[in-house]
Amino acid sequence: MPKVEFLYLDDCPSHERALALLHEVMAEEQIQAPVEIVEVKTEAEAEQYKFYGSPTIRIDGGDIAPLPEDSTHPSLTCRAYRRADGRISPLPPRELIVAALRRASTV
Amino acid sequence: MLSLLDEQAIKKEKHTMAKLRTGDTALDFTLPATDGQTYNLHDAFKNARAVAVVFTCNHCPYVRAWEDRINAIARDYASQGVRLFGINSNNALAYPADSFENMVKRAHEKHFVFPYLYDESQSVARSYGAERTPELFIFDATKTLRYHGAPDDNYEDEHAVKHHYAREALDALLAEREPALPETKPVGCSIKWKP
Repeated sequence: MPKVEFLYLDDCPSHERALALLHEVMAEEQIQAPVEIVEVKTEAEAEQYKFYGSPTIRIDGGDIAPLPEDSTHPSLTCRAYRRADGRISPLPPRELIVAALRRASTV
Repeated sequence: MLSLLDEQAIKKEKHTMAKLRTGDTALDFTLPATDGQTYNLHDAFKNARAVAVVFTCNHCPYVRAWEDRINAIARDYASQGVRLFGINSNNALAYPADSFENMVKRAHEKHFVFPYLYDESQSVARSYGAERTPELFIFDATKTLRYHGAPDDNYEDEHAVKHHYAREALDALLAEREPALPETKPVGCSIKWKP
């Protein structure tokens, strides 16, 4: 069973939709692991969790996506994801969640 | 003498209260832009039928999802006498992606057709009571705020937009009608205030 972590900053509005998307994809992939939800509230916590933006999803400790292009250090910020078509989105792309969960389930 | 808690409460209120409300008059500002010029808001009203002020920035993913649409609004409505200004008020020391130098790069890369202004002191954002990026304030020709809120109802997918709030407000103003929706909830990153 993979370890699934969801880290977020309450200030970034996409986190609720992102968490719902994660649960949806896990259900589709028939993965019943619990999701460890962490609200990052301070810069110190951002450092502690190596948090580069909200939302962040980690499967077995690995980020589902490459770190944001302009991120130089952990910080309390909203995270930009690049979609397959090149557009930027505040939501993690579904296909990256699927791919990360499938990689974990084949290990 | 104010206690530390009082000061914090006042500071928080300064950061969260929207000071400008629909029906209010535009607050003037003069700010430098990425094109090397300096722009004054009230000067823009001299030959405009409406003026949109958009609090924006470089780093925020909501801005990046919406910025082509905002640029398209500026382009599409320019010939109808609408002026649009983008203003970055973020603390660039904490968010280097939002520095003036990076604003210049972004304006060039994205071919912004509107002046991209730098509110380094954050005084304009504070006076307007702006909280988010992006956050729009649209004024009619009499400098009266007629729309405040988000660009449209879907940051994720422009093809799935049902309500083009800003365009609908501008269409109404150009037709000398009241915007049907004068207020929507701004959706985006918080403005990054200086400590």
